[in-house]
Amino acid sequence: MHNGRNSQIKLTLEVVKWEFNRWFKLKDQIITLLISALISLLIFGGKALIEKFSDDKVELVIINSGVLPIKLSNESKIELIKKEFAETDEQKKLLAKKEIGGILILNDIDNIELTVNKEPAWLGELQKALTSARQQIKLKQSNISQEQLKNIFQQAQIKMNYTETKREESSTGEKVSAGIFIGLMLLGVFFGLSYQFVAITGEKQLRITEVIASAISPKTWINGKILGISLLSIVLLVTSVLSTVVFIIVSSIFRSGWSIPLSITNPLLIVALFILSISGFLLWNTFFSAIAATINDPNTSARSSLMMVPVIPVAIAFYALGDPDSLVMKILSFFPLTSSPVLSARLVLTDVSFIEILLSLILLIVTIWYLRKAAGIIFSLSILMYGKEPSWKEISKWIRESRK
Amino acid sequence: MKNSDEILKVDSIRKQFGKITAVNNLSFSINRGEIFALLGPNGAGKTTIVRMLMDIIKPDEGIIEFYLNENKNSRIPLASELGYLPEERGLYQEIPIIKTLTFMGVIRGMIKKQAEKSAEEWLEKLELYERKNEKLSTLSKGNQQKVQFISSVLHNPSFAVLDEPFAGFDPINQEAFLMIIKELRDKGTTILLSAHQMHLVERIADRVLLLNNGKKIAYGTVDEIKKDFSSGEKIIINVESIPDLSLLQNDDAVEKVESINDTEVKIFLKQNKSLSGLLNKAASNYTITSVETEHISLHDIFIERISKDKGESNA
Repeated sequence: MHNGRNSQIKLTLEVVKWEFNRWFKLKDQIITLLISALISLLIFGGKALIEKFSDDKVELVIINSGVLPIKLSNESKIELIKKEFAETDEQKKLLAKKEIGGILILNDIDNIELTVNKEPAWLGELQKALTSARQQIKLKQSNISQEQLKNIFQQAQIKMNYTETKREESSTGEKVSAGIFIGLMLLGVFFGLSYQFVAITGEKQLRITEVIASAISPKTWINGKILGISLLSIVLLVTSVLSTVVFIIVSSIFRSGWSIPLSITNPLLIVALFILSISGFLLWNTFFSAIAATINDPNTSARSSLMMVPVIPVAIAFYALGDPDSLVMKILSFFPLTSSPVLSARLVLTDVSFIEILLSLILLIVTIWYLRKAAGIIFSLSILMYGKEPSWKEISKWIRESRK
Repeated sequence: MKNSDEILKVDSIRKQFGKITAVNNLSFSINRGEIFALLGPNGAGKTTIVRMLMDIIKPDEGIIEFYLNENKNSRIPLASELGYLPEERGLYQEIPIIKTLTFMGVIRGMIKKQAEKSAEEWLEKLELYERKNEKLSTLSKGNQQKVQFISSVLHNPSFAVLDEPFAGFDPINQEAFLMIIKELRDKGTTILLSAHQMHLVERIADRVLLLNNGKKIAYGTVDEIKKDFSSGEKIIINVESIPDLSLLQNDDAVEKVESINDTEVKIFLKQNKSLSGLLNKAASNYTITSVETEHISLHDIFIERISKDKGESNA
């Protein structure tokens, strides 16, 4: 049975559409975004609301306030009530009734007592204010000016001279961006893993494979599956990114201090990252489809755990955040199984030469090509095997024989 | 050399799975516009043959050639020219029926609108149109079978392979499908069917290939096979008490005697032998309460030939 070359491309696209539409539900994606907005509202709006209703000042009775001149910020919830005599039973009664938050006794600058019912939330703020006041007194006593003190604790200054043009140290924003990017890739791997696994083992279990295999070649089928589910992974990732953006926007409305790291602004960098992500998804989905085709029963097969293997190279890429220019990371940028996430992280964090990027991409694409061929052979022979899983020996024999 | 009517020519095919020979040096041909039945007990090699015809597996030896389009030199059929209802049924359970059927039409070479229209027409014909947007899992087993059948023929194939098309249907639906298969044939689709319901196969098959252990046991039209069968007619006699079967078995006219129950005996007559002599002998020895004559059925031939083949293999 054959379909002709043009028809093969057309059929592959039909399978891509089928696989994508089979799993993609626009309604679900909209609901995800709405839930994300709702959760953000609940978290940040709720926090703002709680803060609004809990702005009661805490009264702190301070005895001998002249010992340390405590300065609190205007926003501080601590209200100091100065008393110049020792604590009395009456004040203790007020504390027991929670009408005051505590009694602070300044005996001298190194002898301070605080009586409270239990550890208060404002202790850190009070500690900071007391330390600052004590430092001021000690400075005065030592006759050292603020400038002199600053000078004493200043770091040794090194004037750097570089023989090569050196890129600046990765900023926190860049590290966050690279981290988010690797995280998204990891998420994409999980999307591909789950959908490819369910799609193929499901078809095998429902005995759909024979009907399809009689109409289209296994090569067309697997190509369509790999492309369709890779596309689905990307679209689901976009939804995840949008959900995160919604989360950040809502948080910024309530001024929670979050912001979108915008260090990835170079269009060429975005194109390179896009190509690397697509290549990575294609590589991993090819791997998933080949493994899934050999699984007879997903609930009992030991091979199900193999589907997790592509998580490893993505996880390794997180090490690039620490030292993107290390020899190990440079080697992993060329190794096809790790190059997609590692090189992506390095592109964001450091300078990578064009030749390095090109060579890495060529190696990756060649690997995808051969892996796809091997996956096609495994897929075509495994997909109709019911009740038995092919052994590794059988699989390697199929691949060897296909080369003849 | 191909006969001008032949749409499929299978020449000396062999398929081995490990130590088991599933199909052994088998040759046959199917003519344009006929209903060809592939019969045999479980494990005879029917499904292996069907899978080889559908290019799902390759024969180890031998040639399979299709002549579906007179104007085409290629002996490899297009997916659009073939229809396939596999024995192992299966379709997407959680997808609306119309979507699955449209996809099946599209991968068989139809354009989407055409596939959808054809699917709707078939659903209408099989009284499932109202449920076209429902998931397959919501249908009864019989109705799921109907959808599976539609998926194999909605693209109007030149050649359709129907493996156990009557399985899972009640007698009324079996009759209905008998008519549908005939209609398909009348519209120009050549049909290869594999089924266990001999009484139904006998009514629609133009030619039959009977297999056992991957080998040909009988091949030809139903009439030809019946003619070749050693027995001529079949009579069923009812007697008052348990008869002595050896008396009947030793008669010259008798091919075989089978006891159906305590009072009923089935007698297969040799070809061209008269019934009257045997009946006289029976009447003088037993009290006969009734006599029925029946034509030899495909079922009888199937049982006889398979038993004979097993006997020969064991010997």
